[in-house]
Amino acid sequence: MNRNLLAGAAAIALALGAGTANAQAKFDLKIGGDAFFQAGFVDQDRDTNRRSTEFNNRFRLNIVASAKADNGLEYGARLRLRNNTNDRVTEADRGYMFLNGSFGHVRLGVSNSYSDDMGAVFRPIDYSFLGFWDEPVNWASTGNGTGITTRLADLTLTDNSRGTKVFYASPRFSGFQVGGSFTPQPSSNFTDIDRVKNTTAGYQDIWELGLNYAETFSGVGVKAGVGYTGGRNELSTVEGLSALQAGLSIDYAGFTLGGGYINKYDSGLTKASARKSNFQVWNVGAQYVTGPITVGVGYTHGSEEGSQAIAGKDKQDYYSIGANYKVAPGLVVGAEYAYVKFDDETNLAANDDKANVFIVRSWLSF
Amino acid sequence: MRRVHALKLLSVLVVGSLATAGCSSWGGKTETMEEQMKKDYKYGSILGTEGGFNLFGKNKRGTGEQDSANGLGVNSFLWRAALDTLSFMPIASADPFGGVILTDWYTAPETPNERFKVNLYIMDKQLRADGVRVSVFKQQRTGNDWRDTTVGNDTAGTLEDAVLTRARQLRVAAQAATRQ
Repeated sequence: MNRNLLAGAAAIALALGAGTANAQAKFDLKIGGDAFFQAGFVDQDRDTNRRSTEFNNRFRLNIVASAKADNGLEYGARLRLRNNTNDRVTEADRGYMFLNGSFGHVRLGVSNSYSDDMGAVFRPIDYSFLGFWDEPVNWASTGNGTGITTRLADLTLTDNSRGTKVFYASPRFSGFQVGGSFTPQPSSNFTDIDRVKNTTAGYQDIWELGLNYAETFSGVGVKAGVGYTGGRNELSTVEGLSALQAGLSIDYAGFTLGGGYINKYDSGLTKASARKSNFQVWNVGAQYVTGPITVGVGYTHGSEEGSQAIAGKDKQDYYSIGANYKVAPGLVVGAEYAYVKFDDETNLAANDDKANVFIVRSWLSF
Repeated sequence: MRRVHALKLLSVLVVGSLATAGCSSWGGKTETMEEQMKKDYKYGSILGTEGGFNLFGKNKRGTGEQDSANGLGVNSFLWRAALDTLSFMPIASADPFGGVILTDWYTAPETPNERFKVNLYIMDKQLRADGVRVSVFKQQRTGNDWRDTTVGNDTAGTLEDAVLTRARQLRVAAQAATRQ
């Protein structure tokens, strides 16, 4: 029923847009983007045949075409291009039509989930950069020999990201906003038509509903969010997707204190097994902004079942402290130190890992 | 089973259509696409706080008819209206980015002993009543010399009104053209 609601809202919004096409304003074509460069140093226990230093960078381009009709309907499309991989390929990771009006905001196409893009509230991460919350975990877990390959630092629900979806967010009433999305095939995007049932334990028909609150009282900003994501698993022997996220953030005079919680329960685990530990992540952090300087600290703890053949849980602890400085409009430099600890469920010291990660970076947005 | 799903979808569409038709203004605030994207770029951009680069069309205030379209630094309707209004005078300088038009001295055929000069400034990117300011200078011939003299109090105001009226006409014409 929820996905029907989303599909209905999208169809109605589209019809509303089509009805005012004759009164359209001229299209506005806007190009913007961002770029970053990082230099990282990693000191890690399990670093056999691994280097300590490395550089990486990224460039993204946003292209937005939009127009506004006489009745206030804003409509258009957005494409985001990026070079994000090591083969120098430029790809698109966003591409959708959108409609904005008194009915709310509708997206039709490849977009992040409502939780990831609008709804979720979690620890403050502006002291890091460009929305990254777990970059040091990437540096510590990529290409190393740790027994844990899953990143357990998620702050939002992203299981349906980049699949072609319908997305809806309501207007904000007295600080409250509701939203959600429906994604039939999370692995299918843009022109792909994938009607094949996923029988390899992947999720399908992913839907989400979320409630978000943002208001300011006498200079005190309050943000809260709660959301649920569900999905079907074609394999009857494997659990479907069932995930909850909630978070709270309070800010005053440049200080922000916030935290969040995610529980994916036993999603994706074999039903028949007696070992089905929940996938859980919780996070807490603080941040202070004064003029061009932002400093912050954060802690994220994650745990999951790991192998259902073994008793126990895989765990991950991620401590982060960082600062950045705005050199000029759109140009920021920053540094971050993080301690990342991986505990393998086997409790074998040889499978555990610890890493000290230090990253200096610069980025710009235009 | 499929019929049940179809009925559900149909009912949602019907209820949703009625709700949408009856709620042309729900009273809540919907973020524009620009406001949504600003959240990704909290530190401002090298092209100003608005970020991005407009290839065509409107300014950041979202009204395509009232902006600095076509690469002008000021409101395009006010700019064209000002040029139209002052077209009977020789133009000494016209800066479309700063919004400044300076005329040369002009002598009307019926008053060969008087000459006028106008400085016109466009103050805003939007079509507003206070978006134009005009200064008028007048000289009278005394023998072989031109001497400054006072200008009527309402002369500058009359010119400003003429520019605004012409700008409104141009805007109405542009809106009519987009509806065709």
